[in-house]
Order: sequence, then C-alpha cells, then structure tokens
Amino acid sequence: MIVVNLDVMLAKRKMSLTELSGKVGITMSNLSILKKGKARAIRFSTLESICRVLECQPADILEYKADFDS
Amino acid sequence: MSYSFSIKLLLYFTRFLFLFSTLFGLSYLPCMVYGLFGNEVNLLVNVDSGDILWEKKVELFGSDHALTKPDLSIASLSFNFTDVFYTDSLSTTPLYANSKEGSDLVSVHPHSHSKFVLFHSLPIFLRLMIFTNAILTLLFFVMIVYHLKSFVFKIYSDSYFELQTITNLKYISYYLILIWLVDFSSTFILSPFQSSMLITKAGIVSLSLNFPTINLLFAGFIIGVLAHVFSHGVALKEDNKLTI
Repeated sequence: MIVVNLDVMLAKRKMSLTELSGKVGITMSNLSILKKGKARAIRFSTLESICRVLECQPADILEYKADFDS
Repeated sequence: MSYSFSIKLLLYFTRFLFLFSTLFGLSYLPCMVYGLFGNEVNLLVNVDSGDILWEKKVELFGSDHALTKPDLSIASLSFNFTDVFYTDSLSTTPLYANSKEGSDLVSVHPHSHSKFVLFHSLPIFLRLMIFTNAILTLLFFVMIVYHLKSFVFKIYSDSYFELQTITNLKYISYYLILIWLVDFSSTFILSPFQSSMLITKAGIVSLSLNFPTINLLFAGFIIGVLAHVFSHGVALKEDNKLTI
C-alpha cells in the first residue's frame, strides 16, 4: 500500500494544513482525505503543486509499504 | 428547446402521470369491487385480450351507431377510441349465458374486431381472475410511474450516478417484467374461458390465444441493463471523487 506522509512534511516545514490548502489550491476536505490515506489516486498536477509548496520530492510524501494482509 | 427545459417538462409530465394514475386507480377500484360481487357496472371485458374497459355510450350518428367516449382500459392502461356497437342481447343478456345455450355468436358488431362482454355477467371465478389481473397491473403501473418520477427528479437535480437512481431503474425494470408476467399468465389462464365465451350456433368453439407482446419484457430487460451500466457509473464517480 502507498502511505502518504503529508503530516510529516508539514511538520518539517512548520506549515498547517489550512496554509497548504490555500497555497496549493486544494480544498481542506480533499487534503484531509489525502492525509488520512483514503484517497484512491492523486493527479500529477496535484503532486507537483504539493512538492513545489513543501519544497520536497514525491518520495518524501509517498512511501510504499508491503501490505501482507492483502 | 434546451436540454434542461425538456427534462423539466418530463419531470412535470411524470408527476402528472403519477397523480393521474393514482387517482384513476382509486376511482376505478370501488367500481371494480362493486362489479366483482355481481352488481351491475359499466365495465366491459374485451374477450380477446381480457382488458377491462369503462364504457359510456354516446349517441352520435343515430340510434344504430354508438361511439364510445375515450375509454381507459385498466388491464392494459391505454387510451382507446373504440367503436362499440351494441345489440340489445348483449346489453341485457350475458354473453356467457348465450353461449351456454348455443345461440348465435354474439359479436358486438359484425364488422367490429372488438368483442365485449359485461364484467358483472361473467362467472365469479372469471371475474376474480380478471379483477386480480387488473389490480396487479394497475398497482405495478403506479409503482413504475412513481419510480420514474423519482428517477427523472434525480436527473433534473444532476444526481445522475447515485444509488437511489440505480434503485429506481431496477424497480422500473422489475415491475415491467412483472406486468408482462401477469399479462402472460392471465392469457394462458383465461384462454380456455375465452373460447367458452364464444360458442357459435354450430357448436364450433373458437379458440382465441393472444400471445402478449414482449415489448414490456424487452423494455424491462433494457432498463435492467441500463441500471447495471449506471452502477459502474457510480463506481467511476466514487473513484473520481477520491482522486485528489
């Protein structure tokens, strides 16, 4: 499974979710879905915006973890 | 005519149709129950199709020609302009009794393709069968119109791919198939009795086996397939909603 480490990056950059929402142009509810790991997919354009604002790489936000249950 | 205007028009039409069919059913039901107990009512049964029609004799072209007002057939729920010509024997004597005595083939009119018999003059078991057929068809029709009204309202509200929309389509499909089944089964159940309603003087029994049209069955299947397609639409919508 893909784990979204958005809260880790937000903590590193000392930025709140609301601030990120305003800068990226994504609603709070969508960012919340992303943060909780309930998103089914993410667009490249969205990933690019988040990485640009947080000044990081996609690998800093997205991490693969083997899901042994499935 | 814009698309939204046509949907709005369809919405108003389905609402009107639902109201009309409900009121019609409620007004016809006491009349049919009254006739079911053998009381005289102005209900005719089409011998060939088993449809029940309300008749109102209107003198238009002289005493030997009577054109009915537009009548509403309960079993088939269609509007018919029917030429119904009466003989005195039909009005006063039940057709079934005539055929028991082996009298002349009582047709409503020599040139008419429609043959009718008074509902209350039929034997009780036939009345019960025709009544059940009519009531079930009416009930299913009202349910179809109710779900259609709900479906069109969902479309009008731009809620295309919702679970409720799919449920509406599924129920419309089920009820269409059920109406066809009721019509189909009643045709086979009624057919032996239809022949006994028409016994000619020579004692020749005319068998009239009307196979009900499968239009309703096809419509039910097609709408069922449409519901299945819409369910995939719901899944796609969900995926799209959860795509950030």
